[in-house]
Amino acid sequence: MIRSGRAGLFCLLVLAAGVLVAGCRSQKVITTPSEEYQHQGDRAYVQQDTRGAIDHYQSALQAGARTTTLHNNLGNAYFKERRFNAAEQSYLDALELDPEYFFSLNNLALALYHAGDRQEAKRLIEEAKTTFPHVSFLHTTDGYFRFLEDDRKGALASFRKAIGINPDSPAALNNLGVIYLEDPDLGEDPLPYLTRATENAGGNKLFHDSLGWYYYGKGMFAKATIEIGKAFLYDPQSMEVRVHYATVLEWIDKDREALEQWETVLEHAEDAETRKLALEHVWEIRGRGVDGKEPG
Amino acid sequence: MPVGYPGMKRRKGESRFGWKKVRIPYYVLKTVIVLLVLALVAVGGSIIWARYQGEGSAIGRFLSVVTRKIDERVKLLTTRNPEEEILTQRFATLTFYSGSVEVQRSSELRWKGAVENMQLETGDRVRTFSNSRAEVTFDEGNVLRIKADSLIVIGDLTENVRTKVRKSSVRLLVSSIEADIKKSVVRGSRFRLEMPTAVADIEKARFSVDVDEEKQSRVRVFEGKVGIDTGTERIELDGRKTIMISALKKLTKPENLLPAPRMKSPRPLQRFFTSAESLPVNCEWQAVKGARTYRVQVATDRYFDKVVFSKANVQKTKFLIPELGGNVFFIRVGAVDSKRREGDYSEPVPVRIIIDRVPPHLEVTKFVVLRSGGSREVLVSGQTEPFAEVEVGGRPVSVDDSGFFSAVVKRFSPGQKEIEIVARDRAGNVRNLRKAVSI
Repeated sequence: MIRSGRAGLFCLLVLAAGVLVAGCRSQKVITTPSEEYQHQGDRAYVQQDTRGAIDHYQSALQAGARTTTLHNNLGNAYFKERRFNAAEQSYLDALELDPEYFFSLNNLALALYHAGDRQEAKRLIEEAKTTFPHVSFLHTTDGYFRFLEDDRKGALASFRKAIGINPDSPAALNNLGVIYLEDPDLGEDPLPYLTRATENAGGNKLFHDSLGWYYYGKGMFAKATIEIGKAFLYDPQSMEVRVHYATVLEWIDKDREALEQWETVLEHAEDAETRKLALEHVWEIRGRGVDGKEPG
Repeated sequence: MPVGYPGMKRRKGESRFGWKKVRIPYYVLKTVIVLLVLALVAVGGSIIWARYQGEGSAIGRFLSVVTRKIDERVKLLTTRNPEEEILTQRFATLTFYSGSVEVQRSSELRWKGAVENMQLETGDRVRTFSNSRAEVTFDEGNVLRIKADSLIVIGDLTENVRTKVRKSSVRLLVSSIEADIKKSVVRGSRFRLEMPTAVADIEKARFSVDVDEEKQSRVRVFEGKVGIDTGTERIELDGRKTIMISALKKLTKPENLLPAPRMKSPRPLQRFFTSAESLPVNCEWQAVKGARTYRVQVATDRYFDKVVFSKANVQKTKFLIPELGGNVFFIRVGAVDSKRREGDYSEPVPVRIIIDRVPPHLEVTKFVVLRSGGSREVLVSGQTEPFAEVEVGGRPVSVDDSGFFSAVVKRFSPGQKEIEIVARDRAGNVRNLRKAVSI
């Protein structure tokens, strides 16, 4: 999927819908130690330090805090660590406090889907959509599930519905743009969607990767480097973004920097296909004697 | 007990109201006053600087965003009619320029040199001099490319706070522009171009407009649809049509434009490897109906400002571009009809020529000679670069994606003492090894 470029990014972006709103809710005056822990957890989460975020949130729970936002954010941190069962439990805790807390409903469905319980996840999101028809990110998640199950038509309809409800919904805009980017036969230009997604993304710079990848495809390498560079600085842990960054660096003649990135991908990437791609590039760049070393 | 009531007996050093005298050393007082004055000067200076620089400075941008947001909120809170349009101002950005380009702010008389990524607002003017070019980007990726010797004025740039419908307009004076307007995410959004004698409304189109000194406008629509209104006449111009609007608001009959050829090769983002100084690149495209000849262009930039090769009157649908050196190039092809009118160019295809003069790595990890009956067999495995070709004893051997190869070589001539293992990379560099095959 890395070559065509999208699946991983897609997932994080859908989850972000819940995270961002929950994050915003926690922006209030801090009065108790548990609130301080929560605040530190939010900060760590935004800075991509999910393990730190989990520690702070758990400290907040131990200090007696019990809010939907806290459980939801803890769930999101677990989700990012790919600890889906723990995430599921946190979302359930949030829903126990407020069964109509649709951020957690949305994220619970995502956690269930990734934990393998796809039917339950889809049922949950269908129910949530019926109960809260005007919550745009529920449609975005629905579209995401459909996209993963190769129901492109359904995914398109869901993303469009989400945008119909909220024209500034960054995840829906990005995902729709990504579908148009990957499938030029649909005849839609992805640029307006991807641009608008970055305009409305707030602090989440991951959306810039999709826009950058569009520019790369068009041969606008300087713009591509800027956009993907933003996403890369925001989340250097994302192998997909790093792969994109390394790719564009090669096209702007920064082979040494690209080599560094490809070597990191080769070392840390989890899936075989990404490692294979990195290996090809490492060989190719070193094979040209760019770093002055004999390849081997 | 209240302090300082009338008639209270005052102690020495105590005021009538019980206040205590505190002695502040003169130098402390002086420092505080100096700091206060400096702070006032800094704040005042920043505001004046921000006003002078407008959106060009960080403080200016900050002030502008804050003012806009407050304005929006106040409007939302004070409006009584829910249907009332509440508009917020947007900005365009000068994303690129080359050569001599100047900007005149709406509130100023002075023209200033353009700065990349400067924000443009309603009423701002942009002018380009000869051999210059500028690119103004609007929301949602809409781009206006201003060619040399042009003058444009940024018009409406608004967004409806409730519906998110965006309206943009640009006034063209003597100018030559190319625009790529995307279909907006929000229905009802509109992009308008105001020419001297007509107005063009665009929902989604790629087109060019040339306005000359006699106020005549030539509109070429390559893709999409453009609605042109002169006030007396109105026409919808479809893709691949061109029209002329006179200074007297007369429209000519639309003429056809040839479509852009579709490139078959090279593929976009294709990389070519060579060990030489340069490499010829073969390009091929689909024939265009009505085309008499084609024009092939190669440039080192996507906008073809730096054309390094151009060939007109190409009769066939393929052409060998001679000798491109190590760089990134953009290739495009346009069709020309029997009246010598040039149609749209194909989407530029980016390619990279990579010069590689280093022979591939070649390592033999296993080399075993076996006796088999009366003859010999060799088991050989090793590693080279991915995509390299390997021959063992003159016979090609398959190489996997990570560069590993393995083969069994049989049938040696009786007197043969060694075999050669040859690796050839994509650039044509060769490395070889010789191994003894005697037992």
